Amino acid sequence: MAYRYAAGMFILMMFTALLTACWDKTEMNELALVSMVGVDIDPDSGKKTVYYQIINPLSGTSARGTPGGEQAPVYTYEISGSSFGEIKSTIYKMLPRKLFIAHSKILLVSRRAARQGVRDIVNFIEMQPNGRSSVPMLIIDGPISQVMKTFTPLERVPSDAIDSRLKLLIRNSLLTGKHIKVNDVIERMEKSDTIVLPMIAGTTEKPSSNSGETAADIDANQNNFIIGGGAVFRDYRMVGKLNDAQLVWYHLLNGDRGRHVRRFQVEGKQVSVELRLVRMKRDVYRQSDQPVVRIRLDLELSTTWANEFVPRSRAEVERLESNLNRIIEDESLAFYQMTRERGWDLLRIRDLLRKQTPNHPYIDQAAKNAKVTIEVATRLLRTGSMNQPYEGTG
Amino acid sequence: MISRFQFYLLTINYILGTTLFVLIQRLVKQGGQDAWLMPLWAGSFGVLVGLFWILLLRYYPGRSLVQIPLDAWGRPLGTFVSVLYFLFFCILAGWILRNLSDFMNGTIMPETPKSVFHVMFLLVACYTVAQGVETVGRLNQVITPFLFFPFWLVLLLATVNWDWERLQPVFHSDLGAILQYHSFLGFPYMETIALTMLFPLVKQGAGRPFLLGVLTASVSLSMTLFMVIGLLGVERASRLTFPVYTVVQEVSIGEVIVNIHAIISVILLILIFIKLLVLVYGASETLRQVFRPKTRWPHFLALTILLSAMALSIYENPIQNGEWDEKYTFIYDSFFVLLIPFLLLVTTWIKRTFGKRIKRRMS
Amino acid sequence: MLILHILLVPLIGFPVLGLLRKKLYRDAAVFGAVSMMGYGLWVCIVNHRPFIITILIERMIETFIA
Repeated sequence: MAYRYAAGMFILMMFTALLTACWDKTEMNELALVSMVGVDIDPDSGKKTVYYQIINPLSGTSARGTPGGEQAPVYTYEISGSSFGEIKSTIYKMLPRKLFIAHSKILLVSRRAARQGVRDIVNFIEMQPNGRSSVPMLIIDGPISQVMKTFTPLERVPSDAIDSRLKLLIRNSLLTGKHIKVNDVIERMEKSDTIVLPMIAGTTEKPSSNSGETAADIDANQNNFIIGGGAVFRDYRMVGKLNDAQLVWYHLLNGDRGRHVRRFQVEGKQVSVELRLVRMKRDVYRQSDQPVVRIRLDLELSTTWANEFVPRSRAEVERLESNLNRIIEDESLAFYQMTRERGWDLLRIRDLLRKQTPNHPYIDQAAKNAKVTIEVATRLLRTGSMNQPYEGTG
Repeated sequence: MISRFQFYLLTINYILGTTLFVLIQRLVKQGGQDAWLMPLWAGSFGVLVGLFWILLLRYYPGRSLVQIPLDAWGRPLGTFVSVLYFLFFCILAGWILRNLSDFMNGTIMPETPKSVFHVMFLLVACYTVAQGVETVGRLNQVITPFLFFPFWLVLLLATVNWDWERLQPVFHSDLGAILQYHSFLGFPYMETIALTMLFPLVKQGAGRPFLLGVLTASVSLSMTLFMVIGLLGVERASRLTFPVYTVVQEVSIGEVIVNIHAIISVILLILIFIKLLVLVYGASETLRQVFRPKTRWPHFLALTILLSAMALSIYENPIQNGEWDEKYTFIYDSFFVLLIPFLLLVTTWIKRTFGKRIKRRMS
Repeated sequence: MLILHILLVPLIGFPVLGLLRKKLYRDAAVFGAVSMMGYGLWVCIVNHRPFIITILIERMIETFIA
């Protein structure tokens, strides 16, 4: 009986020792919460530089009045090494807390690193158990340290600023799409597809390193960064750039649903129309033994933002719609021709052929030479608060 | 004695145990976007093999797997074969403990030594098994809703990232590659022979709940593979070590429900625990039925020492384990699961046929 | 190494002695056999030369096939 009692006590003591997770316990104030990661690769030496932007838990209204002035919302740590794995150990030469990247929101890659190839970066993120590849990846058009050391007005933590801007752009324009995350990059690159990632650039050459100054400056365009343009990736390398106008057609033809306002010239008149993709159908049919890709777009129009001209009658509406159909078909076909000339399969025709005609013997060749027809059907469904703009008397 | 429903749930959880996180990546690599068909075909094989064992066990009603060699081949040879089965169960238990500690070390708890996981799990498992098979059955029955609902809820939350195009082109993968992947037949389907140790203890017959359990687990695996391919795509799922874990890691509903992969870790831990319970029960019952010792708990202590050592000795690293799995699992499992039962069946038939003839001649 | 012996020798020794004293020879034999197997494996592990079971099975299968 005493033997069993002793054995029971021994087991309980072992439980007490072994259940405390001594080896893996971490307190919250021992963690460096990373909100944004920036990566640069030097093309000559191959040296990798990683920038970690760490959230400062002491910043905020409660910390006002602390000696030394206002606290910065984030701190950027820069560390270099010959491989990303090495940086995991050497980061602690600068960083006083344990790196915690599970909550990072944005990954920024310098343009020169993008031109060399992002495969190493992407592999490194996927390999780490804590790393999330569901974060958006943006390419920096300019020096990376400038962007990583910029404070943003209004949204104090820069990664939140970029994240909310991307969300707003995805909803309110066709300048950014949903498939800009690291896992989208992996999926597309592994299928030998292309992807377009948003680009970001700083607005000043020397951003202020004082967060208080940025917070007190009325000019929000100073000390900020702007998202614009798209970096085209193929085989993990940046092979070109799209401007904003081209990005609109790229996202429209790839099925993105943002509401984009664009000014069109219709019958000599300027009219700013909001477009929204309602349905897109892509199919492949054979015409004299050649695959033809047919893209059908159904768009919803709104004249809410058309302060120049609003159609008055049904006939005018139909004329506007048919003109816009023609203009959009022409411009999107011109965009496709441009991409074909540069050898970029931005409409993902090869992927479409692979899915719909998997038995085709020469899919790559067929994709390059495929004929593409675009059919657009627009419908005016929404108008603004005024059914006619003011015209004046003169 | 456990009920048929409890045994049915036990069969499902036993098969799903380690499969859900060790095998998903390999299956997607082998089958591509049609990998979700593989459990359906392997499950059919599992049912066939199950029928084969049920046939053997019908000739020995009320006897478990390790008692049959004693009856069929006599004490010396029967003991030797039973000891072989004991080692088989111990090796399987060591395997799953090691899978567990590899998973924990690779994801959430990288610093903790592996033996901590092994010993903690074994202590609780031995205590549970020592209480009897009813405890195992009831525990599994109570815990199954807590596994089933969170698992599928969390996977459904992840469907914001769903893309049907990841599953296309459908039915276009190499059928030969799918059918030739024999290691999937070995692990987990042939390992279900451990459940035959519980056959005599199921009220009203264990055959039907066992076969239904195999089918249900196969459908469940197929659906899980379908979800993983639809959420991650073949390219990523075939390279990530723990695709189910990554799927859940990437769930982000609003900005509030993020980083919920701890739920999946707990579900996987409990599933492994249930598989371990069955194997520890099998091993301890083998000792009890073959050697008929008078005490119970010293043998659990011995099992803890042996299994904690086996867990560290079973394979060197996950890479060697993956290679072994692909080449040798089927052959190794076939010896215990097909060859020995076949020889037992043949012996039984011969004995019965000649036994009848001798009786007829004598009368 | 020393800690392993300090831990396992009483853990195995005391039950064996207890069983022998109660004249349960079969129990002691079974317990002894199983725990000695574990003890042997542990000694190899602690010496950083673990006895890998799957490699042994692999060799057995290869010998049998050849």
